Amino acid sequence: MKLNTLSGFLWLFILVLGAPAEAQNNADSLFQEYEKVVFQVQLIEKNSNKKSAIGSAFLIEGGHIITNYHVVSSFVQSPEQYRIELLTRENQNLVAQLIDFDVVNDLAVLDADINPNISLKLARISPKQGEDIFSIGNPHDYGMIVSPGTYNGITAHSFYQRINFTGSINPGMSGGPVLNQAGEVIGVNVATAGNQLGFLVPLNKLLSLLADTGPAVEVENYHQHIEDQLFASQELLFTRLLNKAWPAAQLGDAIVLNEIAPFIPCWGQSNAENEKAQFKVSDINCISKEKIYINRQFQSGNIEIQFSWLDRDKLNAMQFTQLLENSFSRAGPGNVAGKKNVTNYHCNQDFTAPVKQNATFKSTYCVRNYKKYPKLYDVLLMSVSVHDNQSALMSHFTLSGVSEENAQAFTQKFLGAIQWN
Amino acid sequence: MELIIQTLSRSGKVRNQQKVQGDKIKIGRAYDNQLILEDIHVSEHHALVSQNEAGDIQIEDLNSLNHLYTDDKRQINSAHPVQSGDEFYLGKLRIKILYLNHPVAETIALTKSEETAELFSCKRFNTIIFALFIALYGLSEYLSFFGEFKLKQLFVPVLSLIFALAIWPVFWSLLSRFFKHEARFWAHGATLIMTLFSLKALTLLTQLIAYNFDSGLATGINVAAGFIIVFACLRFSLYLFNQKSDKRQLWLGFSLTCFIFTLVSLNYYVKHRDFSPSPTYSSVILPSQFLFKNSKDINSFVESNRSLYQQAQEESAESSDESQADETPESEPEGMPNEQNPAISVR
Repeated sequence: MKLNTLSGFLWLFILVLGAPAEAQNNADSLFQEYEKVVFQVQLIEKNSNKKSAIGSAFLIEGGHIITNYHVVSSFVQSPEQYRIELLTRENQNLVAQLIDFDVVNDLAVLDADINPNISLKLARISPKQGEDIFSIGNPHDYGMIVSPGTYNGITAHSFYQRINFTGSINPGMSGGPVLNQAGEVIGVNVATAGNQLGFLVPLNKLLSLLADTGPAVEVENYHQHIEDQLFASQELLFTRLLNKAWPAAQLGDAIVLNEIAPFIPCWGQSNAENEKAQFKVSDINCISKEKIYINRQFQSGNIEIQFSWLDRDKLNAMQFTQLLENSFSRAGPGNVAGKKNVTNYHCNQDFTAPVKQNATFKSTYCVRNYKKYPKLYDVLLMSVSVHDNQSALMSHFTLSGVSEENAQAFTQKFLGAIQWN
Repeated sequence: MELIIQTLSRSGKVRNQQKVQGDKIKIGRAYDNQLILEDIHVSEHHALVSQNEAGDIQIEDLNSLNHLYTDDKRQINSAHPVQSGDEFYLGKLRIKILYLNHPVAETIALTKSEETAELFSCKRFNTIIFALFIALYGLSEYLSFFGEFKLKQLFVPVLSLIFALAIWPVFWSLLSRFFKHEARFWAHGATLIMTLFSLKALTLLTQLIAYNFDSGLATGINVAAGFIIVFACLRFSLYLFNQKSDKRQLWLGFSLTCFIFTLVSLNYYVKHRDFSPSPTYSSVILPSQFLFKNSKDINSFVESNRSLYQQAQEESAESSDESQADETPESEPEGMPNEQNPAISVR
């Protein structure tokens, strides 16, 4: 009932005052209405009994409370050290229970003992490009705010899919709702790229998590739950990558890979402008920007592919191999991961030939395992041509959070695609 | 009666020896003594060596200020028999009395080591290897530099290298001087340079092995051959130091080498971390002329990588066994952050 009056009221304002005033008033009204159902989430460290992380959360129809996975990730990783609390408008601290979560889409479902007379409705249709939307949350613990902005559709070059929101989202607002003008939830605050560029989890991801949400996931099954989700996500990703032909690109005298998927965009550069350079180098770097946040020291799910064509130019053969050695020694992971989460890399090194057998590559292949998710690995390949003292091709990829089968198939396809002319 | 009387240094080295004759040999600082000593703690007439009725040689104190002592610091109050090779203290001055028929140590033949030492001491040889060493250093700097190379960039490194090289012969020369041995500065310098040449040759060889075959094997060879080279270097330096080549010197050289290698491996152990986020592998790349191994086809390379997954899982299982022992969760390293935000940064 209230919603209808509200929107009617707003339409009037648009007609009379135009857009800026309308946005301001929408924000005010939304805030007054929904302050009761948006909370600050506090992660309380049990030993010090103080909050160690904060975020935002909101109550939806049906009684569940929604926030980001990354807000409660410390609890998921060490449930015995933390507890989740909600801070209500009346400054009441309520203990919340974690019911379910989606690590890939960064969502978590909580339950708490609250019975307000209102809750947020979920939108039935997604907003139109350019539509005003409102992000609500508690940035930097300064209090609840409403931040108006614009819906810009699903992010381009994205596999995990986020809504592109031009409006400010700041740390602490994570997990807060984003509402359309009718006051319905269309997404969840999740991240920012700074400068009025924010990212939201789309509503459909929340809907599918809610559809799967049953009784609370047992604490001892948290790791299994994460592993299952990461495994399913990489299955989807690599099925998509491996089931299509990869476009080729010419780099120097070699054939390498072009953008193998839109969400792994490629960038190029060379040192042609550097007059002092003793050698020539041109690079293709393809990097998927999105990573899955597992905990503060552990991210996964990204892919990097890099090629360099090096021409010896003014260098002699020994100097050229020194240059190659320098680049070859630098293979590293593309994701952050610490000792608690991953093993050391285990490497295999050999000379390999491309399909045409007309070149020799020195190749290093390294694998590390996820300690809590044993079906998943980070792998990397570093390969450099060594049969020609004039020029060389360096090929490199890193995959994170991938199964053995997918990593092996990817490597096979990758090595099969690189050719020397 | 004819005797040899030696004055000894505190460490037992002969400082001075004199052949003295007479029925009564008086020892002291006064000029009417048969043996005149300059030590200020020795009395004018300090001791008397004489022959008793039985013909045995004996020594007695002439009521000296600082007394006469036996080798084991017992004061001599009455006449004390003297055997060939006995030592006495006049105050704190140490002397040794020998009969003329006292055996001397065996003559040592000039050894192969001595021939090498002579060669190493030769200044021309030193100049040649030193120049060769600096030239090789400059060449290796040039070959491992892939920017715009200027000769003047070698000035500072070469100067510091020369200073660093000088430390070794200076150390040994000072040590030799301290023990009153021959200094042999140039021979020590040549020993160091020859050792560095051998180590460099070894590095090149092991790089070739690491590149073509197995870096583990290369490391093994490097350590084993490196041990032999360092041992040879120390053994020869010790020879230059005291010209002895007996078993004791061999053991000393060996234990010094072990000591150095222990220090190096301890240093490695202290610095080695049991977790590294980056992979460790041999990054050696050599020009195509040094490639001896056949390359694998893609399928067999990919297939040979399969065992890595198993290895990584095994490490994972091992570490989870360990962590079960202490299940206390570690605290977040960033202190007390008040929010969590995986801010997606744009490159």
